[in-house]
Amino acid sequence: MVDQSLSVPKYWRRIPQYYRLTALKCRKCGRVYFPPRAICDCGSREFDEVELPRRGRLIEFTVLRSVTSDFEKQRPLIFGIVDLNGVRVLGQLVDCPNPEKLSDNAEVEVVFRRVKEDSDYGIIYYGFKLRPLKGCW
Amino acid sequence: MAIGIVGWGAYIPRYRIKTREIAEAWGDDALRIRDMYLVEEKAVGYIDEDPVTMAVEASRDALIRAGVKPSEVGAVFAGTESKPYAVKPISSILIDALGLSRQVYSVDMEFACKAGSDAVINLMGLVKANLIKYGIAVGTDSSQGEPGEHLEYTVGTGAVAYVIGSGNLAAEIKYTYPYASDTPDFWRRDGSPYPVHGEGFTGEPAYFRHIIGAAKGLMDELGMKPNDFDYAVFHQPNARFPVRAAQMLGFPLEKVKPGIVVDLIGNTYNASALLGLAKVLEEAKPGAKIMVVTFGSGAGSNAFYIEATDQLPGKVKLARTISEMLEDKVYIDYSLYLKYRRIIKMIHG
Ligand SMILES: [Zn+2]
Repeated sequence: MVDQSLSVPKYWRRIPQYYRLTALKCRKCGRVYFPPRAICDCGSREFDEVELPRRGRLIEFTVLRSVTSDFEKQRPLIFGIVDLNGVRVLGQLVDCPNPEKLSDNAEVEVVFRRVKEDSDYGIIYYGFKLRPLKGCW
Repeated sequence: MAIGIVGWGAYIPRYRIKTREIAEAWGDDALRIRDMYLVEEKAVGYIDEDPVTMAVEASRDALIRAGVKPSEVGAVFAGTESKPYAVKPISSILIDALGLSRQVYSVDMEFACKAGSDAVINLMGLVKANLIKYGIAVGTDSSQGEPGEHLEYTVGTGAVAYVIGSGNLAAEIKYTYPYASDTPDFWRRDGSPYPVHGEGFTGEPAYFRHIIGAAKGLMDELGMKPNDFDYAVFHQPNARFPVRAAQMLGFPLEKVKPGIVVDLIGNTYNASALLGLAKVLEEAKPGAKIMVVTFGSGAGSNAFYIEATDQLPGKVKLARTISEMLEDKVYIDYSLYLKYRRIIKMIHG
């Protein structure tokens, strides 16, 4: 998921993950890691970069009605885990005004959105979010 | 060398507000407003959407339809008049969001609603000069309309992107023709939250003079007539203007209607006519001849003569279509509109 307490350098380093869902695939056993990590469970340190697919299925989700002040305008916040071709990714769900109607297993697409901004004068952080294709309005 | 559209993509946000809802909030006569602009509803981006996010969505689909690898793209130009940063480009964010190489000519362009079409023309030049293989031209806007003022009824949200190149064309751009002059019809001063209209300048001396001038100039140089075209697409600040421009030029209504989207999503500024073209591409048959005339206040127009190729129909279903996005909608009321568009100034966020 896109970290909600970002600093500019941390954000900049994670741009490939946050913008394009760039994951690492182990050259030895084929396991895919998102977020990326340095050593595979199989012990290998050799990876190739792969982008995760932009469509998947929702596995589960939770609705937060009490949120930190940065996200008050987006209440209620919905976070979900989505299966993108076997890789589980946690993210914020958007364009879903009626989460009561949202069901597990809903088809979801990965979209590019603003995540937060540092006041009116600072940087705007962009990153991926998840959007149900239908069924929540 | 045939140059043109290799792929295209569009993005329209999911939320809509009816112009009736806005009229009721401000005590205007909803029927009169509808009659003035013929705009039923407009698209509203959510709090976390802006011209950058929409440009990314549209460009991703454009690359998919083009069948072009990000590493083959040599330039990305973004036309907008609602940049989220006054200084910091959209085009460089696109480079990383799309996974392009670092060897990419990139710049944001501004000429009110016209710059997206200038991006297309500039990329044609780079392709023709063999400086790049493919380029991405984007028109993206989420512009401002002062609450309670008439602009609020029509200002919409959307983006469109075209991959320009010289192979695997969906449509060939056969000719372009510009028409521009210093005209004080519409502007927004630096630091001002909302634009203003130059009283009496918006219709005849601005929109119609430039659109008609560019369209006629294009047809004169090519020796073509309205009869020679299957579709005519014009910049659409409302639905009345393009229909009237078509009448003035001698195009029948059925040739202009397929390219009108403003009635359902509002004026998307730099995306406006180019989104209309994208909608036409979804139904045009191979060989179809399309005229597109963009317009930007200040003021200027670019006219295009575009011809669909055999490859066009096969590319339509490769990504989200405008017809699908027009159906995918959730209505909001005026209070949510104010919140989503960040029109109410708040201390917290
Ligand atoms: Zn491994």
